[in-house]
Amino acid sequence: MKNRLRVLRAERRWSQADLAGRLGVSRQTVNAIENGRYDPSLPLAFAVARVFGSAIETIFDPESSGDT
Amino acid sequence: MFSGLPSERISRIGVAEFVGAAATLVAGTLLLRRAGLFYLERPYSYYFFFPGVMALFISGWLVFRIVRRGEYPWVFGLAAIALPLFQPSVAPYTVRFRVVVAIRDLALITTAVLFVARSIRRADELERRVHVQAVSWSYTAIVLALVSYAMFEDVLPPLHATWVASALLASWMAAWAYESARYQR
Repeated sequence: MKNRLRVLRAERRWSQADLAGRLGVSRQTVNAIENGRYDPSLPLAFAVARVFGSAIETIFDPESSGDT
Repeated sequence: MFSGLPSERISRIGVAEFVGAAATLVAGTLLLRRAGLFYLERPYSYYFFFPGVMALFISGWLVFRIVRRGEYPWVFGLAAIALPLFQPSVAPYTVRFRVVVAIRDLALITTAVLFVARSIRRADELERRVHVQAVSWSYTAIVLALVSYAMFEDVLPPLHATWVASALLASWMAAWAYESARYQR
């Protein structure tokens, strides 16, 4: 599943570690989500939406599928 | 975008410390065994005894550093190496010695299990998923190997349970490292 995590993070000038800290996950998890290697659980997707102040469907694109 | 090691559970210093701890664990155990062989000839015994104790002390210190940073996957690798080295099933059979060894092993295993369990409980959802995937295919591989062994048991040398336990731990760690890296490519 593709997402706009990298763009949204860059707009706020956050590093992957910054975002990971806000989400309470590891930097590797943020990296895996950004690269489309891992689709987050629903609670984590909601947490991402809350951190960026956006709706889930504006961050994650369910039409494109990843390989996880 | 992958800019480092596949997991925060593996640092570069952790790799070096794991290799050092494994090497000194093997060296220390083998040296103390040699010291045991020469215990009646004291000068020879000392040549092996003190370096052996020193090597085990260094190994313990390196493991302490690994544990303090929370890099728990190395514990699987070290346990896989330690099990066949300690050879619990062939320890001298005197009641007092067996009790001492049993208490030592119980303390070591309990500490390791508690540390790993606490670390996995603190892990995030991706790391837990990595563990589930790693355990599922590494243990499946070991089970297939055991079933294959069982079919030829009559013509193959006996298989120690220690080796099986060691293989389970080693394969879990290898599968975990592979699965972790797979998500970071």
